[in-house]
Amino acid sequence: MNLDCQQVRELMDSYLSEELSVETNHGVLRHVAECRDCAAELKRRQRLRALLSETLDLAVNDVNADRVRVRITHAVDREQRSWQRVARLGAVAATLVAAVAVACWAGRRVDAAAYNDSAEDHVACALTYPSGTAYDPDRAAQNLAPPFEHIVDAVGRSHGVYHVIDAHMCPYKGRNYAHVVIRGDGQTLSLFAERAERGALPDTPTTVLAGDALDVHATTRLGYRISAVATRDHRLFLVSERPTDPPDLAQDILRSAVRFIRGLEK
Amino acid sequence: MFGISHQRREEFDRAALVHVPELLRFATRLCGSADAGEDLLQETYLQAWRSFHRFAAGTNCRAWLYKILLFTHSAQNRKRARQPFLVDLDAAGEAALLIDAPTPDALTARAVKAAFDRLPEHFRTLVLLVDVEGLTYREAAEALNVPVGTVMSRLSRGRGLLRLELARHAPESSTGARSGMDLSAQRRARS
Repeated sequence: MNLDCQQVRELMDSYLSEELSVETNHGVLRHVAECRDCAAELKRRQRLRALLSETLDLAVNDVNADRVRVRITHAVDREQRSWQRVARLGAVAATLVAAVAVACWAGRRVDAAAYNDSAEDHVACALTYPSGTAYDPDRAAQNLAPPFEHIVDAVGRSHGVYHVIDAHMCPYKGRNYAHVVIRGDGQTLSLFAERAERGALPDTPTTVLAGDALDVHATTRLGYRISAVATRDHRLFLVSERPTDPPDLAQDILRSAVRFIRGLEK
Repeated sequence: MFGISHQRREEFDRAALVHVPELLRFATRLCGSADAGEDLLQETYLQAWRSFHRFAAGTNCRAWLYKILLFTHSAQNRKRARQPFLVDLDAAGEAALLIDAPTPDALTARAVKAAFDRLPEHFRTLVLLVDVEGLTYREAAEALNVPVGTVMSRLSRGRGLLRLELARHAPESSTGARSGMDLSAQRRARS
Protein backbone atom coordinates (compact mmCIF):
# COMPACT_ATOMS: atom_id res chain seq x y z
CA MET A 1 0.00 0.00 0.00
CA ASN A 2 1.49 3.34 -1.08
CA LEU A 3 0.45 6.27 1.09
CA ASP A 4 1.19 9.99 0.62
CA CYS A 5 2.10 12.39 3.42
CA GLN A 6 -1.43 13.61 3.94
CA GLN A 7 -2.79 10.08 4.27
CA VAL A 8 -0.02 9.12 6.67
CA ARG A 9 -0.70 12.18 8.84
CA GLU A 10 -4.35 11.20 8.98
CA LEU A 11 -3.46 7.63 9.96
CA MET A 12 -0.65 8.49 12.33
CA ASP A 13 -2.66 8.65 15.55
CA SER A 14 -4.50 5.41 14.78
CA TYR A 15 -1.08 3.87 14.15
CA LEU A 16 0.05 5.00 17.61
CA SER A 17 -3.17 3.56 19.07
CA GLU A 18 -2.50 0.26 17.27
CA GLU A 19 -5.85 0.46 15.56
CA LEU A 20 -4.70 0.00 11.95
CA SER A 21 -4.91 -3.15 9.87
CA VAL A 22 -1.64 -4.99 9.26
CA GLU A 23 -1.50 -3.83 5.66
CA THR A 24 -2.14 -0.15 6.50
CA ASN A 25 0.32 -0.39 9.35
CA HIS A 26 3.01 -1.55 6.94
CA GLY A 27 2.07 1.27 4.54
CA VAL A 28 2.60 3.85 7.32
CA LEU A 29 5.89 2.28 8.38
CA ARG A 30 7.19 2.17 4.78
CA HIS A 31 6.30 5.84 4.23
CA VAL A 32 7.83 6.98 7.52
CA ALA A 33 11.03 5.08 6.71
CA GLU A 34 11.41 7.15 3.53
CA CYS A 35 9.91 10.51 4.59
CA ARG A 36 11.89 12.54 7.11
CA ASP A 37 9.07 15.09 7.65
CA CYS A 38 6.54 12.42 8.49
CA ALA A 39 9.06 10.51 10.65
CA ALA A 40 9.67 13.73 12.59
CA GLU A 41 5.92 14.37 12.91
CA LEU A 42 5.41 10.81 14.17
CA LYS A 43 8.05 11.37 16.85
CA ARG A 44 6.45 14.65 17.87
CA ARG A 45 3.05 12.98 18.18
CA GLN A 46 4.56 10.18 20.26
CA ARG A 47 6.14 12.83 22.45
CA LEU A 48 2.83 14.73 22.66
CA ARG A 49 1.02 11.61 23.74
CA ALA A 50 3.62 10.76 26.37
CA LEU A 51 3.57 14.33 27.62
CA LEU A 52 -0.20 14.27 27.78
CA SER A 53 -0.17 11.19 30.01
CA GLU A 54 2.66 12.62 32.06
CA THR A 55 1.06 16.00 32.60
CA LEU A 56 -2.27 14.46 33.48
CA ASP A 57 -0.69 11.84 35.68
CA LEU A 58 -2.29 12.85 38.90
CA ALA A 59 -1.36 11.55 42.29
CA VAL A 60 -3.41 8.37 42.12
CA ASN A 61 -1.22 5.92 43.91
CA ASP A 62 -1.99 2.54 45.43
CA VAL A 63 -2.77 4.04 48.82
CA ASN A 64 -5.29 6.44 47.29
CA ALA A 65 -6.88 3.71 45.22
CA ASP A 66 -7.12 1.38 48.23
CA ARG A 67 -8.75 4.08 50.33
CA VAL A 68 -11.27 4.84 47.59
CA ARG A 69 -11.92 1.11 47.09
CA VAL A 70 -12.78 0.79 50.79
CA ARG A 71 -15.01 3.86 50.58
CA ILE A 72 -16.83 2.39 47.58
CA THR A 73 -17.17 -1.00 49.25
CA HIS A 74 -18.80 0.61 52.29
CA ALA A 75 -21.13 2.64 50.10
CA VAL A 76 -22.19 -0.48 48.19
CA ASP A 77 -22.60 -2.36 51.52
CA ARG A 78 -24.98 0.33 52.76
CA GLU A 79 -26.86 0.24 49.48
CA GLN A 80 -27.09 -3.54 49.61
CA ARG A 81 -28.37 -3.51 53.21
CA SER A 82 -31.00 -0.91 52.41
CA TRP A 83 -32.14 -2.99 49.43
CA GLN A 84 -32.33 -6.08 51.59
CA ARG A 85 -34.51 -4.17 54.04
CA VAL A 86 -36.69 -3.03 51.14
CA ALA A 87 -36.81 -6.60 49.84
CA ARG A 88 -37.87 -7.92 53.27
CA LEU A 89 -40.56 -5.27 53.58
CA GLY A 90 -41.56 -5.99 49.99
CA ALA A 91 -41.92 -9.69 50.77
CA VAL A 92 -44.13 -8.91 53.77
CA ALA A 93 -46.17 -6.46 51.71
CA ALA A 94 -46.51 -8.98 48.88
CA THR A 95 -47.75 -11.61 51.35
CA LEU A 96 -50.31 -9.18 52.75
CA VAL A 97 -51.45 -8.20 49.27
CA ALA A 98 -51.76 -11.88 48.34
CA ALA A 99 -53.78 -12.59 51.50
CA VAL A 100 -56.09 -9.67 50.80
CA ALA A 101 -56.42 -10.78 47.18
CA VAL A 102 -57.32 -14.32 48.27
CA ALA A 103 -59.84 -12.94 50.75
CA CYS A 104 -61.35 -10.72 48.06
CA TRP A 105 -61.45 -13.62 45.63
CA ALA A 106 -63.11 -15.82 48.20
CA GLY A 107 -65.56 -13.00 48.94
CA ARG A 108 -66.36 -12.68 45.29
CA ARG A 109 -67.03 -16.37 44.76
CA VAL A 110 -70.54 -16.84 43.51
CA ASP A 111 -72.74 -19.76 44.52
CA ALA A 112 -74.12 -20.18 41.02
CA ALA A 113 -76.32 -23.21 41.86
CA ALA A 114 -77.89 -21.65 44.97
CA TYR A 115 -81.32 -20.96 43.44
CA ASN A 116 -81.56 -24.14 41.39
CA ASP A 117 -80.60 -26.35 44.34
CA SER A 118 -83.25 -24.82 46.59
CA ALA A 119 -85.92 -25.28 43.92
CA GLU A 120 -84.80 -28.86 43.23
CA ASP A 121 -84.78 -29.79 46.93
CA HIS A 122 -88.23 -28.21 47.31
CA VAL A 123 -89.48 -30.56 44.59
CA ALA A 124 -87.52 -33.57 45.84
CA CYS A 125 -88.43 -33.15 49.52
CA ALA A 126 -91.26 -30.71 50.41
CA LEU A 127 -93.62 -31.76 47.63
CA THR A 128 -93.38 -35.41 48.63
CA TYR A 129 -95.08 -34.89 52.01
CA PRO A 130 -98.51 -36.49 51.91
CA SER A 131 -101.52 -34.27 52.30
CA GLY A 132 -102.69 -34.07 55.86
CA THR A 133 -99.19 -34.28 57.36
CA ALA A 134 -99.25 -32.59 60.71
CA TYR A 135 -96.34 -30.98 62.54
CA ASP A 136 -94.76 -33.22 65.18
CA PRO A 137 -92.50 -31.16 67.49
CA ASP A 138 -90.65 -34.25 68.73
CA ARG A 139 -89.87 -35.40 65.20
CA ALA A 140 -88.70 -31.90 64.29
CA ALA A 141 -86.56 -31.65 67.42
CA GLN A 142 -85.01 -34.99 66.54
CA ASN A 143 -84.34 -34.10 62.91
CA LEU A 144 -83.02 -30.55 63.37
CA ALA A 145 -79.41 -29.98 64.32
CA PRO A 146 -77.73 -27.04 66.09
CA PRO A 147 -77.82 -24.16 65.58
CA PHE A 148 -81.17 -24.48 63.79
CA GLU A 149 -83.10 -26.48 66.41
CA HIS A 150 -85.32 -23.50 67.31
CA ILE A 151 -86.00 -22.29 63.82
CA VAL A 152 -89.66 -23.31 63.83
CA ASP A 153 -90.32 -21.47 67.07
CA ALA A 154 -88.61 -18.42 65.65
CA VAL A 155 -90.52 -18.49 62.38
CA GLY A 156 -93.85 -19.41 64.00
CA ARG A 157 -95.87 -22.56 63.41
CA SER A 158 -98.85 -20.80 61.83
CA HIS A 159 -99.24 -17.81 59.53
CA GLY A 160 -102.86 -17.35 58.72
CA VAL A 161 -103.87 -20.37 56.64
CA TYR A 162 -100.27 -21.50 56.31
CA HIS A 163 -98.91 -24.00 58.86
CA VAL A 164 -95.52 -25.63 59.38
CA ILE A 165 -95.87 -29.37 58.73
CA ASP A 166 -92.27 -30.44 59.28
CA ALA A 167 -88.72 -29.27 59.90
CA HIS A 168 -85.48 -31.23 59.47
CA MET A 169 -81.88 -31.09 58.33
CA CYS A 170 -82.00 -31.77 54.63
CA PRO A 171 -78.70 -32.74 52.96
CA TYR A 172 -78.80 -31.97 49.22
CA LYS A 173 -75.90 -31.95 46.73
CA GLY A 174 -73.38 -31.38 49.48
CA ARG A 175 -75.43 -28.69 51.16
CA ASN A 176 -76.93 -29.08 54.60
CA TYR A 177 -80.18 -27.14 54.62
CA ALA A 178 -82.33 -26.58 57.65
CA HIS A 179 -85.61 -27.16 55.84
CA VAL A 180 -88.95 -25.90 57.16
CA VAL A 181 -91.94 -27.19 55.16
CA ILE A 182 -95.03 -24.99 55.26
CA ARG A 183 -98.30 -25.78 53.67
CA GLY A 184 -101.61 -23.86 53.15
CA ASP A 185 -103.93 -22.35 50.62
CA GLY A 186 -103.34 -25.26 48.22
CA GLN A 187 -99.57 -24.85 47.96
CA THR A 188 -96.40 -25.92 49.72
CA LEU A 189 -93.65 -23.49 50.76
CA SER A 190 -90.07 -24.35 51.66
CA LEU A 191 -87.90 -22.26 53.92
CA PHE A 192 -84.22 -23.24 53.59
CA ALA A 193 -81.43 -21.93 55.76
CA GLU A 194 -77.77 -22.88 55.26
CA ARG A 195 -74.35 -21.66 56.19
CA ALA A 196 -72.74 -19.47 53.47
CA GLU A 197 -69.88 -21.70 52.40
CA ARG A 198 -70.09 -21.41 48.63
CA GLY A 199 -69.79 -17.66 48.01
CA ALA A 200 -72.20 -14.87 47.20
CA LEU A 201 -75.68 -15.24 45.79
CA PRO A 202 -75.86 -14.78 42.03
CA ASP A 203 -76.96 -11.30 40.98
CA THR A 204 -80.71 -10.98 40.49
CA PRO A 205 -83.16 -8.09 40.71
CA THR A 206 -83.53 -7.24 44.38
CA THR A 207 -86.17 -5.63 46.54
CA VAL A 208 -85.67 -4.30 50.03
CA LEU A 209 -87.24 -6.26 52.81
CA ALA A 210 -89.13 -3.59 54.73
CA GLY A 211 -88.10 -3.10 58.33
CA ASP A 212 -84.85 -5.07 58.05
CA ALA A 213 -83.00 -3.10 55.36
CA LEU A 214 -82.08 -6.35 53.63
CA ASP A 215 -81.88 -6.99 49.93
CA VAL A 216 -84.18 -9.80 48.84
CA HIS A 217 -83.12 -11.52 45.66
CA ALA A 218 -86.17 -12.52 43.65
CA THR A 219 -85.98 -15.06 40.87
CA THR A 220 -87.82 -18.01 39.32
CA ARG A 221 -86.32 -21.48 38.87
CA LEU A 222 -88.05 -24.63 37.63
CA GLY A 223 -91.30 -22.67 37.69
CA TYR A 224 -90.99 -21.83 41.41
CA ARG A 225 -90.64 -18.39 42.89
CA ILE A 226 -87.57 -17.97 45.05
CA SER A 227 -86.93 -15.14 47.51
CA ALA A 228 -83.40 -15.27 48.87
CA VAL A 229 -81.58 -13.26 51.55
CA ALA A 230 -77.86 -13.26 52.38
CA THR A 231 -76.87 -12.51 55.95
CA ARG A 232 -73.30 -12.34 57.19
CA ASP A 233 -72.77 -16.10 57.49
CA HIS A 234 -75.97 -17.65 56.15
CA ARG A 235 -78.26 -17.85 53.14
CA LEU A 236 -82.05 -18.14 53.34
CA PHE A 237 -84.39 -19.22 50.56
CA LEU A 238 -88.20 -19.17 50.52
CA VAL A 239 -89.57 -21.29 47.67
CA SER A 240 -93.22 -21.04 46.64
CA GLU A 241 -95.42 -21.94 43.71
CA ARG A 242 -97.25 -18.63 43.64
CA PRO A 243 -97.55 -15.47 45.76
CA THR A 244 -99.03 -16.05 49.18
CA ASP A 245 -102.36 -14.58 50.05
CA PRO A 246 -101.89 -12.03 51.43
CA PRO A 247 -98.51 -11.35 49.70
CA ASP A 248 -96.98 -9.93 52.90
CA LEU A 249 -97.24 -13.35 54.52
CA ALA A 250 -94.22 -14.74 52.66
CA GLN A 251 -92.27 -11.64 53.64
CA ASP A 252 -93.29 -12.12 57.29
CA ILE A 253 -91.96 -15.69 57.25
CA LEU A 254 -88.70 -14.59 55.65
CA ARG A 255 -88.33 -11.63 58.00
CA SER A 256 -88.81 -13.88 61.04
CA ALA A 257 -86.25 -16.33 59.72
CA VAL A 258 -83.73 -13.53 59.06
CA ARG A 259 -84.11 -12.26 62.63
CA PHE A 260 -83.53 -15.76 63.95
CA ILE A 261 -80.42 -16.23 61.82
CA ARG A 262 -79.05 -12.81 62.74
CA GLY A 263 -79.52 -13.77 66.34
CA LEU A 264 -77.32 -16.81 65.71
CA GLU A 265 -74.65 -14.66 64.14
CA LYS A 266 -74.29 -12.31 67.11
CA MET B 1 -33.16 -14.51 47.72
CA PHE B 2 -30.44 -13.16 50.01
CA GLY B 3 -28.13 -15.99 48.92
CA ILE B 4 -28.47 -14.84 45.34
CA SER B 5 -27.80 -11.27 46.45
CA HIS B 6 -24.63 -12.39 48.23
CA GLN B 7 -23.44 -14.25 45.15
CA ARG B 8 -24.17 -11.22 42.97
CA ARG B 9 -22.17 -9.06 45.32
CA GLU B 10 -19.17 -11.38 45.08
CA GLU B 11 -19.36 -11.25 41.28
CA PHE B 12 -19.58 -7.45 41.39
CA ASP B 13 -16.54 -7.15 43.66
CA ARG B 14 -14.56 -9.52 41.47
CA ALA B 15 -15.48 -7.95 38.11
CA ALA B 16 -15.78 -4.26 38.94
CA LEU B 17 -13.57 -3.31 41.88
CA VAL B 18 -10.35 -4.23 40.07
CA HIS B 19 -10.87 -1.19 37.84
CA VAL B 20 -10.95 1.30 40.72
CA PRO B 21 -7.37 2.67 40.28
CA GLU B 22 -7.78 3.26 36.54
CA LEU B 23 -11.26 4.76 36.86
CA LEU B 24 -10.20 6.91 39.80
CA ARG B 25 -7.42 8.40 37.68
CA PHE B 26 -9.83 9.02 34.82
CA ALA B 27 -12.55 10.49 37.07
CA THR B 28 -10.04 12.80 38.73
CA ARG B 29 -8.78 13.98 35.37
CA LEU B 30 -12.29 14.43 34.09
CA CYS B 31 -13.41 16.46 37.12
CA GLY B 32 -10.16 18.32 37.63
CA SER B 33 -9.91 17.58 41.35
CA ALA B 34 -9.32 14.50 43.52
CA ASP B 35 -12.35 15.09 45.76
CA ALA B 36 -14.76 15.53 42.86
CA GLY B 37 -13.21 12.50 41.13
CA GLU B 38 -13.72 10.31 44.20
CA ASP B 39 -17.33 11.44 44.55
CA LEU B 40 -17.95 10.77 40.89
CA LEU B 41 -16.38 7.32 41.15
CA GLN B 42 -18.41 6.38 44.22
CA GLU B 43 -21.63 7.42 42.48
CA THR B 44 -20.49 5.47 39.41
CA TYR B 45 -19.99 2.29 41.43
CA LEU B 46 -23.32 2.71 43.22
CA GLN B 47 -25.04 3.06 39.84
CA ALA B 48 -23.10 0.05 38.57
CA TRP B 49 -24.17 -2.02 41.58
CA ARG B 50 -27.82 -1.01 41.12
CA SER B 51 -27.76 -2.14 37.51
CA PHE B 52 -25.32 -5.02 37.86
CA HIS B 53 -28.14 -7.49 37.16
CA ARG B 54 -28.15 -6.10 33.60
CA PHE B 55 -24.43 -6.64 33.11
CA ALA B 56 -23.74 -9.70 31.01
CA ALA B 57 -20.98 -11.77 32.60
CA GLY B 58 -18.03 -12.24 30.27
CA THR B 59 -18.53 -8.93 28.46
CA ASN B 60 -16.28 -5.91 28.85
CA CYS B 61 -16.80 -4.70 32.41
CA ARG B 62 -14.17 -1.99 32.01
CA ALA B 63 -16.01 -0.33 29.08
CA TRP B 64 -19.31 -0.79 30.91
CA LEU B 65 -17.95 1.07 33.95
CA TYR B 66 -16.54 3.87 31.80
CA LYS B 67 -19.94 4.18 30.18
CA ILE B 68 -21.66 4.55 33.56
CA LEU B 69 -19.01 6.99 34.75
CA LEU B 70 -19.41 9.19 31.70
CA PHE B 71 -23.18 9.06 31.92
CA THR B 72 -23.09 9.95 35.62
CA HIS B 73 -20.66 12.78 34.96
CA SER B 74 -22.76 14.28 32.17
CA ALA B 75 -25.92 13.87 34.27
CA GLN B 76 -24.25 15.75 37.14
CA ASN B 77 -23.12 18.48 34.75
CA ARG B 78 -26.60 18.82 33.30
CA LYS B 79 -28.02 19.07 36.78
CA ARG B 80 -25.53 21.75 37.72
CA ALA B 81 -26.05 23.73 34.55
CA ARG B 82 -29.85 23.23 34.59
CA GLN B 83 -29.81 23.17 30.83
CA PRO B 84 -29.97 20.49 28.16
CA PHE B 85 -26.72 18.78 27.17
CA LEU B 86 -26.15 20.22 23.71
CA VAL B 87 -22.87 20.30 21.82
CA ASP B 88 -22.14 21.47 18.35
CA LEU B 89 -19.56 18.93 17.29
CA ASP B 90 -19.30 20.16 13.72
CA ALA B 91 -18.60 23.77 14.65
CA ALA B 92 -16.12 22.79 17.36
CA GLY B 93 -14.08 20.51 15.13
CA GLU B 94 -14.32 22.52 11.93
CA ALA B 95 -11.04 24.33 12.51
CA ALA B 96 -9.23 21.05 13.06
CA LEU B 97 -10.38 19.79 9.69
CA LEU B 98 -9.49 22.96 7.76
CA ILE B 99 -6.03 23.43 9.21
CA ASP B 100 -3.96 20.29 9.53
CA ALA B 101 -1.66 21.61 12.22
CA PRO B 102 1.61 19.74 12.73
CA THR B 103 2.82 19.10 16.22
CA PRO B 104 5.21 21.82 17.44
CA ASP B 105 8.76 20.83 18.28
CA ALA B 106 8.99 22.70 21.53
CA LEU B 107 6.44 20.88 23.65
CA THR B 108 6.26 21.57 27.34
CA ALA B 109 4.07 19.86 29.91
CA ARG B 110 2.55 23.23 30.77
CA ALA B 111 1.67 24.01 27.14
CA VAL B 112 0.21 20.56 26.63
CA LYS B 113 -1.92 20.85 29.77
CA ALA B 114 -3.13 24.31 28.76
CA ALA B 115 -3.99 23.15 25.23
CA PHE B 116 -5.75 20.08 26.58
CA ASP B 117 -7.81 22.20 29.01
CA ARG B 118 -8.90 24.45 26.16
CA LEU B 119 -10.45 21.53 24.24
CA PRO B 120 -14.24 21.33 24.28
CA GLU B 121 -15.25 18.77 26.88
CA HIS B 122 -16.56 16.12 24.45
CA PHE B 123 -13.23 16.08 22.59
CA ARG B 124 -11.24 16.24 25.83
CA THR B 125 -13.10 13.20 27.18
CA LEU B 126 -12.40 11.16 24.09
CA VAL B 127 -8.70 12.08 23.93
CA LEU B 128 -8.48 11.19 27.61
CA LEU B 129 -10.17 7.84 27.08
CA VAL B 130 -8.10 6.72 24.11
CA ASP B 131 -4.79 8.56 24.10
CA VAL B 132 -4.26 8.65 27.86
CA GLU B 133 -6.21 5.74 29.35
CA GLY B 134 -5.56 3.49 26.36
CA LEU B 135 -9.09 2.34 25.62
CA THR B 136 -9.53 0.84 22.19
CA TYR B 137 -11.80 2.62 19.72
CA ARG B 138 -14.38 -0.11 20.27
CA GLU B 139 -14.24 0.26 24.06
CA ALA B 140 -14.53 4.03 23.78
CA ALA B 141 -17.51 3.63 21.46
CA GLU B 142 -19.15 1.33 23.97
CA ALA B 143 -18.41 3.71 26.85
CA LEU B 144 -19.84 6.68 24.98
CA ASN B 145 -22.66 4.69 23.43
CA VAL B 146 -21.80 5.88 19.91
CA PRO B 147 -20.66 4.03 16.75
CA VAL B 148 -16.93 3.33 16.29
CA GLY B 149 -16.95 5.59 13.22
CA THR B 150 -18.14 8.47 15.39
CA VAL B 151 -15.33 7.82 17.85
CA MET B 152 -12.76 7.90 15.04
CA SER B 153 -14.16 11.07 13.59
CA ARG B 154 -14.38 12.89 16.94
CA LEU B 155 -10.92 11.68 17.93
CA SER B 156 -9.47 12.96 14.70
CA ARG B 157 -11.02 16.36 15.35
CA GLY B 158 -10.02 16.38 19.00
CA ARG B 159 -6.41 15.50 18.26
CA GLY B 160 -6.34 18.04 15.45
CA LEU B 161 -7.69 20.74 17.73
CA LEU B 162 -5.11 19.86 20.36
CA ARG B 163 -2.28 20.26 17.85
CA LEU B 164 -3.85 23.47 16.59
CA GLU B 165 -4.03 24.90 20.11
CA LEU B 166 -0.39 23.92 20.68
CA ALA B 167 0.67 25.50 17.37
CA ARG B 168 -1.20 28.73 18.13
CA HIS B 169 0.54 29.15 21.44
CA ALA B 170 3.93 27.75 20.38
CA PRO B 171 7.00 30.02 20.08
CA GLU B 172 7.73 31.38 16.57
CA SER B 173 10.84 29.23 16.24
CA SER B 174 8.80 26.07 16.69
CA THR B 175 8.31 24.04 13.55
CA GLY B 176 5.09 23.14 11.87
CA ALA B 177 2.82 25.90 10.67
CA ARG B 178 4.31 26.10 7.20
CA SER B 179 4.39 22.39 6.52
CA GLY B 180 0.92 22.14 8.01
CA MET B 181 -0.40 24.67 5.59
CA ASP B 182 1.40 22.80 2.80
CA LEU B 183 -0.50 19.67 3.76
CA SER B 184 -3.77 21.55 3.79
CA ALA B 185 -3.04 22.75 0.30
CA GLN B 186 -2.18 19.18 -0.65
CA ARG B 187 -5.55 18.01 0.71
CA ARG B 188 -7.44 20.73 -1.16
CA ALA B 189 -5.61 19.85 -4.36
CA ARG B 190 -6.42 16.17 -3.89
CA SER B 191 -10.12 16.84 -3.38
